[in-house]
Amino acid sequence: MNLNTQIMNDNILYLNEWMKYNESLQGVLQIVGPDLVCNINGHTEAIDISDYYLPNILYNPTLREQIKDKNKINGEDLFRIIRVNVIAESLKNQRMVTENDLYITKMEMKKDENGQSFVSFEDNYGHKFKMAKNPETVWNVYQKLLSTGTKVYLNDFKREVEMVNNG
Amino acid sequence: MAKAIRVQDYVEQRGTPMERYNIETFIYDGIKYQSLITDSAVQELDHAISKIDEALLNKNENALSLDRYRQSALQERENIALQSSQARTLKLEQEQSGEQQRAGYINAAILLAVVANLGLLIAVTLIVLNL
Repeated sequence: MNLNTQIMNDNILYLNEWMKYNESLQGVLQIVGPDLVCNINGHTEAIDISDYYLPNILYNPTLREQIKDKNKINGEDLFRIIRVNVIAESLKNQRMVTENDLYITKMEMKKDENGQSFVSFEDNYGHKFKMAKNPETVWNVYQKLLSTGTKVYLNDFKREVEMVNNG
Repeated sequence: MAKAIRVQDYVEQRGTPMERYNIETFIYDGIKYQSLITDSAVQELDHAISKIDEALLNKNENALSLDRYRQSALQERENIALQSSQARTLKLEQEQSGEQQRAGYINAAILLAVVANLGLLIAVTLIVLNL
């Protein structure tokens, strides 16, 4: 049994259990394929939960207490709460992957209109950055990392700059 | 396909319509249901909001759009809290009114008893005096 099937089996079990206690979920929420589907006033919304373990939402103690109470949480509320948690997980995974993948593609030493030096650089996603504090130090750190012959990853660069500034 | 795009990508008009819709709902519902989502989700929400604020500094139109969702959700949350508070106040007033009514009935019963006892005392006194 692959992981997604296992997760979905558990998700179905938990949803059915919650429906037993909270009848406002019945007829509003159902699992169709990999999706949690919600019917609200004839309008359908869905979110893929095949890689999200539904019981994780119960880490919130207030929800854990209120999920069984139809006067506190209805089907639409629960769908929206689950969707927020699922999307948060997706964004967190993206952030973890992306931050580790960011590297500096170019760096320039410039002067602003007041003649103050600053460093301007860009990463491989096209994000632009400016550092005005100790620009010469920042430039030297970049050159030192660049001299190793590998890409200068943003995480490493920021860590080095912080160490030098605090050192 | 990712379920939603990051705020940074939204403001630069990247992503499919569903990915863009999902980040919009994330901001709105995240704020509205903030007390009912996990700590991890709250952290991601805070991070997304900080990115909206950064993009707002440049008066980015797409960031303004996300900010409107944020403001709308905050207003909705405030309305719900106000309604709950008003419902609690009304219930308290009703309970107090009920108690006051009960206290009124008790006071009337005591007064009646006192008057009845006084009447009885007067009657007995008159009888004794006539004797």
